[in-house]
Amino acid sequence: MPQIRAYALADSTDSSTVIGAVGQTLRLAPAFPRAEQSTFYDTFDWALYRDGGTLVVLDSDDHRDLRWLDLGGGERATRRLGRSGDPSPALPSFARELDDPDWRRALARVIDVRRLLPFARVRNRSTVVPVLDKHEKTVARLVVTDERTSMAPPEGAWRREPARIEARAVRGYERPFARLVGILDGLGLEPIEHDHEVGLALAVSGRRPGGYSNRIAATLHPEMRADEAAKQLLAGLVDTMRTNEDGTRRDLDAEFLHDFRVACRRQRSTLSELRGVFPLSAGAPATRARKELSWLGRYSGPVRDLDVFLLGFDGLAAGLPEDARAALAPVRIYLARRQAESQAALADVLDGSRYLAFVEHWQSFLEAPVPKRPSAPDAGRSIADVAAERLGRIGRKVRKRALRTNPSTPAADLHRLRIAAKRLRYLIELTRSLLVEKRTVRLLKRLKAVQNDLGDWHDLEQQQILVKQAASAMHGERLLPADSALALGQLLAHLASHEAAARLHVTDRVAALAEALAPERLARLIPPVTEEAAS
Amino acid sequence: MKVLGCYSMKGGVGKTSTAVNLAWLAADAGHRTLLWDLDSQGAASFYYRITAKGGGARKMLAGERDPMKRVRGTDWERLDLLPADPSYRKLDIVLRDGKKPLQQLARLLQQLDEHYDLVVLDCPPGLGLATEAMLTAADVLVMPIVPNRLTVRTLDTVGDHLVKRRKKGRSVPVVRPFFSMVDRRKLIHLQQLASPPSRPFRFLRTSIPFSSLVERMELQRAPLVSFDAASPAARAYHALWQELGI
Repeated sequence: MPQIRAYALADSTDSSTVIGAVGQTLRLAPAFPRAEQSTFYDTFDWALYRDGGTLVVLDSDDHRDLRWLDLGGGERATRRLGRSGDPSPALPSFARELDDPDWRRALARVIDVRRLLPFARVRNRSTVVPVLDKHEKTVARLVVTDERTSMAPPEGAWRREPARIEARAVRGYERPFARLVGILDGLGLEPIEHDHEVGLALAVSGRRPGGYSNRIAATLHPEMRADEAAKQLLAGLVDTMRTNEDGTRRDLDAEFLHDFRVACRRQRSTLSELRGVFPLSAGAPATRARKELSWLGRYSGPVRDLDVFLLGFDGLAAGLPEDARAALAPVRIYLARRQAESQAALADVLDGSRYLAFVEHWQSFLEAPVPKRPSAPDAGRSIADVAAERLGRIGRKVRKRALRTNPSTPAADLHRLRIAAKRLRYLIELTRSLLVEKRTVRLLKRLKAVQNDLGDWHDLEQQQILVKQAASAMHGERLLPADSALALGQLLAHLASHEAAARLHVTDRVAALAEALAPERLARLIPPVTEEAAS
Repeated sequence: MKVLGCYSMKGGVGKTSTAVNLAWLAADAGHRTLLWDLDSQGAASFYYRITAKGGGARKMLAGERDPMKRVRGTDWERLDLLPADPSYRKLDIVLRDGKKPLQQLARLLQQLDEHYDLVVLDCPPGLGLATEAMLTAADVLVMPIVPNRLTVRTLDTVGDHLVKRRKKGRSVPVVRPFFSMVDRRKLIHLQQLASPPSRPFRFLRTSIPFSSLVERMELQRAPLVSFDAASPAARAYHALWQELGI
């Protein structure tokens, strides 16, 4: 990137005096104004930031560009979105909406299905003065930015940034740049660090870049009381749930609902695996929480199933002949309508009094200190003991199911294995800080692989159900032309074939998992008790 | 990064004007663009007011020097130029003396991949080693053709050459000839425009009119599209850029 040297422009300093002083020594072209607005984008989980970059839409006097920048301001790629006078070209919200295939691929690799959200806006009004050589070639630039403002969308207030003067090099013309800098230094201007606007944008956003993660960050100490540890874990999960609430309500992208649901499932799993840590009477907070989380799942589940199906629809249809793909268009529209209806119902639930009351009471319970004399049988035990016991129990269950799995295993049993494996994985993730890290990483890798395969198989099964439901409903509403009905039949056959292949793949994978869950290996997940701890 | 070569077997057909204007249009469209002046005459460098530098090109082509050290920024942001060098007069010999001569340009261009979206090559005329190296490096080749029978025949020569390359398993760019320096007062030009040859390559629909304005580039020392966008020739270059669809 060509060099830039920046200086503060004090209120008392007239920029035309500075330009005049430079013009005494160097040849200058007529100055021209430049007005620009940069809007900075990233996903909710800072995917671009974690990849070392950011996206910027730069609106200038005559065009709008999309730029992919490094965090230091270096440019990775640029795409012209349009010109002034064009109907305002919107920034695509998702990687899949970009028309350039190279951009689409590169961005999807980083942000996947997440929506691009604006996090900062910076406006500059500048005067640009080209510095010329004897051939009247531009060899450097003096840029006076006397008005720079910034804000955090959507409703932040514009704040004024200090004015500045910059000497900007033109590639290959180091000596003229050095002369320009020498003149500006000689005028006594205060040098300031050239912070590319990316740094300013991140500061303005008011959010901590990279601050969100859906991973569990709780650190438990082995000797902690089990109820205290459980409250800490659950509070973190409720936090994640609430962080994703607004994005879920507004359906910004499918990952908000995914993370919301995972946070809910992990809470249910924690309450189930650490049963005995909280009172379980009919009206007790933990009992109520399990019930309400299950209720939430009945609304969020259909939305998630349709999200997954719609996101993968084109990929699934790609395996069919071209005329069948075209004939599926009414089906896609119908499914999108159903998704919108389910989403609206979910949004109503999240805005409703039952959900708000649940969250308020649940959070109050989790924030309250643990009782001195707990009534729940395992509340006062160490979390290390309780976790070891539960890990052993659920690990044995998963292993038993895994050993019984073969290509003819009924779907219902595969589901039970899927759910048990998920419970085991969640328990390991929640209590990870208590376990031997190296062994935990290996086991989690195997569990995730099995879970992904079981998840794929489950999705394919669900999608066949959705297709049949869609066919029936569309037929009832007279929305199903004959060619679409035929295409649905082909799609069903395609899904069934993929499901069978996924099932075979699962069978191969679970054998390795069963081996990893052998009792002696499971026992080695728990660190040995030291003499010091024992005493 | 894409590589667009501007090439003709003969000189004086509007090749450099094409390279100079297309490079500007590419940068104006938002692409980070490098114009590489491979013609020893240094005309492209002249139009952009950049002095052709003596020395260093041999080592650069041999991979011993970073090409970015020779690149110069133009007066327009996102548009840089790799200026001509006197050693390009004997470019064939320079390439032949290096390792794997046909790959040298392509190898060098790979080093520029992270800096640019498009490299425009203003190629020397002829059909020597330099042309072969350029054919290896380019994704697309635009060929300005003056609409008379003699220049149109040069396409057959190029076409035969590319067939031989293909048979040897060498890469072949997409070739898009177009009519250049078109004078609508001349019957032969109108006849060629009305029925361009369909083989060995498909002609672009856009043609560039003969215009004294193009010669004004020498006085202005800037691309025509930058100082007289409304002129017919500038609009034609614009249409050419659009039709290329890069």
